[in-house]
This record gives sequence, C-alpha cells and structure tokens, in this order.
Amino acid sequence: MADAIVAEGLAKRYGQVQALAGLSLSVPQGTVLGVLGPTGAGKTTTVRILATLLRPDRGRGFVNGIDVVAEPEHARRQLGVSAQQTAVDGFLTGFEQLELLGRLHRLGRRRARSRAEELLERLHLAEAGSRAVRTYPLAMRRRLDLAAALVAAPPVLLLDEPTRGLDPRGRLGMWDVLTERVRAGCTLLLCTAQLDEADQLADEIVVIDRGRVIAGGTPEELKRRIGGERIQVVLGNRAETQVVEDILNRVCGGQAAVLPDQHLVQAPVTGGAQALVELVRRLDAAGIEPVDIGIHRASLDDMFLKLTGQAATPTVAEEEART
Amino acid sequence: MSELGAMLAGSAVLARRNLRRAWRLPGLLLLAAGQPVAVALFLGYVIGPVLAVTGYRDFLLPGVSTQAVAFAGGLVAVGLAADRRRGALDRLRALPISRWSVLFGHVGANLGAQLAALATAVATGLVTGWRIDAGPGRALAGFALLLAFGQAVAWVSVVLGLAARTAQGARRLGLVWTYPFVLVSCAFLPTGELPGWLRPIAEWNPVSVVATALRELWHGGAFPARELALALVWIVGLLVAAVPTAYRLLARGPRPGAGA
Repeated sequence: MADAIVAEGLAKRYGQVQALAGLSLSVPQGTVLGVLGPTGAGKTTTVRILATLLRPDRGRGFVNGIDVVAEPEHARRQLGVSAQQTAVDGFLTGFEQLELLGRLHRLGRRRARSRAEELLERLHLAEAGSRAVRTYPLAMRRRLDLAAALVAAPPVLLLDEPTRGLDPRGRLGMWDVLTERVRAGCTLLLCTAQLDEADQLADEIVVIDRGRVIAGGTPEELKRRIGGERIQVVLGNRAETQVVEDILNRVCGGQAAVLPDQHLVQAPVTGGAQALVELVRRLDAAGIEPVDIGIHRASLDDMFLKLTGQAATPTVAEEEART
Repeated sequence: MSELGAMLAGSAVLARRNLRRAWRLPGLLLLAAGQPVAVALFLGYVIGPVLAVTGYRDFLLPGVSTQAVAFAGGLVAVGLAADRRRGALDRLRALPISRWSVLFGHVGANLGAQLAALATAVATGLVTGWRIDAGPGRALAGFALLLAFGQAVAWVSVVLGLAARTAQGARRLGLVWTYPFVLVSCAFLPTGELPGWLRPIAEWNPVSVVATALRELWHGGAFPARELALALVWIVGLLVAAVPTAYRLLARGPRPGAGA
C-alpha cells in the first residue's frame, strides 16, 4: 500500500531548542498513525511542517507523494489540518465559519452552503449552527474545528491533540467522528499525549521524545513491551494475602506479587476483563471480600519510564531549558 | 477561474469576514470613528483659541483628517493580531489559497475603518462651520490622497503585525507606530511652534507632507503640484517597501513559539 504521509529525517531548531532531531515516519493510505509523546516532544512541530506552515531545517515531508517543502501549494490541496488551538472565529456562527471556508476552497456559494449544513449535521452541531461560535463549549469548538478541516473532503488529515481538554463524553464523541472518517478512506496523523486515545484509534503508534522516534509498532506490540495491564486487589485483611496470591497466580498464570504495605496483590494479565470475572468468582468462592479490585492499565508515564528510563513529564529545569 | 480571479475572489471573501468582525465587535470601529471627533473638538475649542494662528480651523481639519486615516490604518494590526493569537492565521495559511488574499482581506476590510474615521472627521468639521474652499475636483483629489495614505499606513502596520514576536506585540506595535509621526508633525500645529532641532524631522515626516498637500488642495491657491508629488513619493515608497515584505513575512509565518 502506498504511504499517504511520509516524513524523512525532519530536523528543526528554535534558537537553543532542538525541536526535531531527525524524525521519520510513514503512514500507509487509509490508516491511522498515532504520534504519542509528552508536551515538547515535537508533535506540533511535526504537524506544522507537514501542514506546510513551517519549513524544516533538514529532512523532507510528503503528502500523497507531494513534497511539502518544494510544492506547498499542491500539498495543501491534499490536507485538512486541525491544530491544538481551536482556530475558529468566535464572531461568526458555526454555519458562517464553514461556509466561509467552503468559499475559500472555491466550492461556490450554493455548494459551500450545502457542505456547511452537511458537516454541521454530521458533527452533531446542527442545532448550534446559527449561534455565534464564542458561545460554544470547548467540545463543540473542537468538533467545529474538525469540521473546518473537513470542508474540502481532504484525503489526508493532520490532527494535533484533537481531544485535549475535553471531558470523557466529548472525547468519545470525537473518537466516533474520527473513526468514521477513517472508514471513509481518510489517512490520519493523530498526535496525542494520551495512550488510550492512540490505543483506541491508531493502527500503528510511534512514540516520540526530544524530537525523534524512540519506539514504534502496533498498539498491542507496544503494550506488550511495556507490560500492558495488571490486575490489582486491595485487601482489608492482611491475613488473606497468601490465599489471594494463590488465586491470582492461577487466574493470571503466575507472576503475582504482594505489596504488603499497601495491602495489595497484583499480577500482569492479558485479556483483563475475562480474567477479572474469573478472579471475582474465585474470590467469592473463597469467601474473601476485597476493599478494591480492578484493572490497572499502563499509562503514557509508565511507557516513558520503561522506554527512556525517565518520566514523561519534564522536570521544571528541563522545561526551562526548553523555553 | 484564472489565478488572479481566484486571488481576488478569496480576498473578497476574507474582506467580508473581517468586516463582519468589525461590525459584530464594534469597539474598534467606534474608536476609529470617535477618535477624530474628540481630537477635532479638543483642538478646535480648547487649544485653538489660545493659539495665535489665523485661520486655524482650515489648518486643523486637513490635519485631523490625515491623522484620522493614519489612526484607522493602524487598526488593521488588531484584527491581524487576533488571527495570529487564535490560530486563524495558520488555518488560512494551510488552505490552498493565495497568501495575497489573506493580506488583501485584512487591508481591504480596513478601508471600512478608514472611511468611518474620515467621515466623522469631515462631519465634525462641517458641523463646526468648516468648509472646503476648493472646487469638487480638488476636494475629491484630497480624499483620494487621504485614502491612499491610509492604505500605505495599513500595509506598514501589517508588516509590523507579522514581524512582531508575539500576537500581543503585533497588536501594540502595529497600532502605535504612527503616534510619534502624528505628534511630531504639522498635523495639529504649525512646525514653527516646535523646537528648532525637531523642525526638519517634522517637515519631512509623511504625516506632515500629506497634511500640507491636503491643506493646499482644499484651501490653497495654485494647484500644489510639488506638495502633492512629495506626498505621492512617500505613499508609493511606503507601499513598495511594505507590500512585498508583508507577503514574505506571511509566507514564512509569524515567529515560531509565538502562537499562544
């Protein structure tokens, strides 16, 4: 399958800060690449270069085979971009915003209007379409911003943290819309700082840190590498520890560990939900009533700790060195 | 559609957007329209009577009109700064449209603020008894000169608005760069009132040059060919310097890390 998005050895320096240090990635047509990394890792810079908004110091970028540095005008015809900021005009209504972009894409007045209606409908904004955008809550602004990127039905979408700041419901709504776009054949570059988002949406993930790719693979491969899920049982009665450890070993196939200080027994697990049901059944049969029981999923922080030996959140000193 | 046609169509669409902003968030428009009224009334009724300048009203109104379009022209930077801050400018830069459309959209809509400022300046004059002495041809030439000057000011403001490090800097710089030019000029007072070392600066200042040409056009005797030529040299010079620079700065993009 042809690659719809390619970055080759992108490098960009802002003054003292090396934002990108030879970043390469590729996204096959019709798939989703999750670009996962903490703030300052280079996600936004990568999107800005591929979106023709910024020239790299070194390296090349292509969308659908078009060089974004040499032929930015052509590349822009392939692209829909939604950046971290919601770049929508507060003084316009949602409808006017989309109509404006349709006109700029030279759809013609009639077509621009029907396209605006269609997108408002599809992104569940139809009722808000005639209201000023400044009255929209963040989740609606983000959806409108995405709609704005979709006006010309571009084959390639570059999205920089499209669910940043959204509540769980807003996030799910956005995920639905993105999934639908991919089903319609779009290729997606999705930058995110949330492991579960990449896990949910991406076919492949690259993890970036300090401007380069430090790991890559399918979500399953990555999760396996970092240890994936753990089942944790918190006990009220420390005397039950031994029994629970035995049960966990049987359910999860060994490797149960006891953290006595925290009254906690845990074990790594795959297919967590099923194991959890089995575990509950056995605990019940043994007459044990845990204080808490649940599946703990590896977070981005866990992954970074594992991959780089340091925490994902930069320390204050590092943050200062970067600005 | 030809490339030029597409560029003009895009400019019109964006100018309409920017006019909508001006209309729906009318603070700037009111400022542009109200400022010349305040200046004209203050200078005409508070300062004027103290000055021993004969025919001060005929001296003042062309000066107020000149500073009114200069002030309104600087306001283009405010909308531009807002677009920079909110990422709207990046959105437009990522579209397959000409970058000229983005620039013409801002400068074109700014013409609305300039016309509003000029209208209230002239209306204030008319209400207080001022009249243009020259015939309709020279009167119109005066207005054309003012609007051309306003365009030159607006383009310089766009350059400053794009060159500034932050969006807030863009707003301030684009707005206030005209103030020293207006203050050290003959817009409000004859340059004879200034200290000697400031006089040559004040006389060659574009605001003075335009105001002088305007006074001669509206209230003078013979056709002021020399004054007008000098004013046009300034206007064309500013445009030649600012227009290509604005395009280059927009293509490069505002400084990195200054988006927020």
